[in-house]
Amino acid sequence: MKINILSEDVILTLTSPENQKLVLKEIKEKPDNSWLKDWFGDQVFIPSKIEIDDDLSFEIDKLNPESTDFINAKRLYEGIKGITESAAFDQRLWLGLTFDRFYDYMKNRFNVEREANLINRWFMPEKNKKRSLYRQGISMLWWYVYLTYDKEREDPYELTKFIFDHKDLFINLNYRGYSNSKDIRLSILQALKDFESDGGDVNKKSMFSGLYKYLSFLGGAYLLDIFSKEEIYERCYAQLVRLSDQHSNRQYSFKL
Amino acid sequence: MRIKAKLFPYPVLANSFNNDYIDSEFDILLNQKITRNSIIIKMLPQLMNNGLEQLIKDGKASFFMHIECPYTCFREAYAIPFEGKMIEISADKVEGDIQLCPFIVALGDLPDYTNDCFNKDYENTSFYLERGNILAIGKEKTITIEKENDNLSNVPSIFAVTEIKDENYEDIVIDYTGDKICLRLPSIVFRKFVSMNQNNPNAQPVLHSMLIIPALIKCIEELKQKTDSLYEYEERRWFKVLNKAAKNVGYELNPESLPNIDSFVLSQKIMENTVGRGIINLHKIAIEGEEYED
Repeated sequence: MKINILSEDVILTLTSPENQKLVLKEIKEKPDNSWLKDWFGDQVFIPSKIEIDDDLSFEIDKLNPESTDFINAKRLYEGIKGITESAAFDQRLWLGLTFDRFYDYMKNRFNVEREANLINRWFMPEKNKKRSLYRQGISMLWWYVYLTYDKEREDPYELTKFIFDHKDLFINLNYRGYSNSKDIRLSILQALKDFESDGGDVNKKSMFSGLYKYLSFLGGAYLLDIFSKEEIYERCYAQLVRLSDQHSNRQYSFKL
Repeated sequence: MRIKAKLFPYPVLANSFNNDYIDSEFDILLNQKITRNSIIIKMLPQLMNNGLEQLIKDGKASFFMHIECPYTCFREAYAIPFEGKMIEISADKVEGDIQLCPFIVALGDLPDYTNDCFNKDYENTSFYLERGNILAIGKEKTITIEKENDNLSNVPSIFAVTEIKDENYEDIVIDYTGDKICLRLPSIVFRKFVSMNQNNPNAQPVLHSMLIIPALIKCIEELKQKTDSLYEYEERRWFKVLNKAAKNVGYELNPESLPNIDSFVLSQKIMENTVGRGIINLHKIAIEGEEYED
């Protein structure tokens, strides 16, 4: 089955500042997406070239909506596996899934009463920018898997699970340019994961942020991309140990 | 990777932002071809510095081209031999701008690195460099990918006319802050617009004169005010298309030409005299009584 996308004009109407209050009211008050038909007639959705599994559905947990993120992300990634990076950058695709197939999921996961920043979750206000992709309710699920899936592992979703349990450190990592490199990104996450398994605390912002600052500092004089995954991993793990020691001793310094 | 002018703890050949070396040059020349399915990039290193050249010949350093597309998280560093290299990147992997930055990087530790062309501030000084240290930085380049084939559907226009559903709004809004120039119409106006636009081709030049021409004038006037910061607009789809359309009628939207452009004249030319055609058609509709179905 083809994914239904939203046309640009529909998105522009839904996201225009003048319509924002009304749109949020419709989402909040109407039980389903039938209001879209009232707004746009029969031409709300357009079939795309991208296939999605017919039987793909999402788990919905009314009491703890966030708890379903990992399992749903995995299902989504597997359900539309043939998608290219370039197509996955297109908001029409993700907003199409949001307002069509996964409307009920979105209503539960990003409920008006619970989500202050609803616009960022339902739409992509910073149009087609990375930050929007990583925040929007459906695109975030796909991109989080894409960025952490590693087919070389026994469990390719090992790091995906880790980042869904540690969203803050992953969001922070994505702001760093070097995280665009898959080898660098996965090595950093592996080091953080192992450090935690070995008893370290990676949830403190000073720890993961300290590690990222160290890598930015390193990238100032080294081309990080020429290092092997193992070299990046070892440097990261060693820095986490140093940061942990510094926290105990209250000393702060960089060592290359 | 965007390299800003920065300081290194040792001399780096980077003529675009420092003078650590004298009588030396480094860059990697590019020749790119963008096809429907891929971007083919030919790269040829150019180096004028005997010390660095010898390091590369001895396998102690290498040329690299760092290629990155921040939007799709594509990031690779390609080692480039003296004779050059050609690479092909699938169009599916990238979107928008691709940034390219040439480097020379140490492949092993260089315990006593020195160079005959160091600026005299570093004369007779040697440095302990490690594997991975950057020795030279060339000129950054950007390749902009404009895909002819849309990933999901057809390529849309640069104008979007949309409806303001909130009945409290009575004004028409022109918004050019996104990829398209958006004309937002109050609900009743929008419905009449759609009806006329769909049912009477004679009404189109009239509607274009009332909406598209003022929007184009507003955009061109905005560009005229911002000649120092045109880069803010260059990534927007409407700017790219407008720039192309302006070129087709003999105009350039650059800082030199913009101040002399009459925005009404240019808008008219781009829209093929829609105001004149609009008045003639309006006469047909209003005076000659040509009908259309609402």
